[in-house]
Amino acid sequence: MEEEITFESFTLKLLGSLNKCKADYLVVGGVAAVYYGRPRTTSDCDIILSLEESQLKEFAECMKKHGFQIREHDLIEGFREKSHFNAYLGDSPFRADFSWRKGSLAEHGFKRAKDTKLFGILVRMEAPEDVVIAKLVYGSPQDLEDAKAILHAQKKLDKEYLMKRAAEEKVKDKLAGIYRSLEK
Amino acid sequence: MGDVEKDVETVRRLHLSGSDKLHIASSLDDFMIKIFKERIRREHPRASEKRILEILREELSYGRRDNV
Repeated sequence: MEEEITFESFTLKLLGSLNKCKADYLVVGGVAAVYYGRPRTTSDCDIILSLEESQLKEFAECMKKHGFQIREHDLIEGFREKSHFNAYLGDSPFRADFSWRKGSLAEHGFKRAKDTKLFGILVRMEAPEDVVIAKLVYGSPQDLEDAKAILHAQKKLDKEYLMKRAAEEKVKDKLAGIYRSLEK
Repeated sequence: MGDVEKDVETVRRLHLSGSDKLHIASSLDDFMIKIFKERIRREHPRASEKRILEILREELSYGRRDNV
């Protein structure tokens, strides 16, 4: 009987494969929010890729070799339109959700990314301040809770950078609102 | 204190690392998937395992943000 793929083993396999495929990537979204904040369900692993068009075919082949179901057509279309594409692993319900390095959130994310040890392997993770800003920009109730958890859990955040970026992304009021609610 | 703050206080009290938190999140996800699958099996008693997986993946993709 095939061993069941847990979310942990899925994430480990995905990030290990990205390293082996020498992809320039950034872990963002729910996994980063859990890492810096508090445990919650997520069921997908959000990754931003920074690849050239000439690297796409090799990337798809490498990920397939590691067991991921990637449709080359979706990957190429996704790259050209800078839209999301997904990859699954075996019969697991968990999903890798890939997007592309574009826009100010991703640029800042890549510039300030940290090499972080996760489940024993080294991964490129978005810095906590940039996760907070992205969550404030997306702005769903879940995103705002994630931002709040990170602001509460991380004691060494660069507040000056947070304020500057919040102003640039026009989410200064949301950031101030969360800080106020944490002071209560 | 709200739920988020309580969760963070628990994380702090237990000295959980980032990997520890993801390990717990993974257990929550795995438990959630088991419950989802059970419900889908009950709602689709004649569905094959392949079809159940398709429905599960569809359900999980609802509400996901694909326009970032």
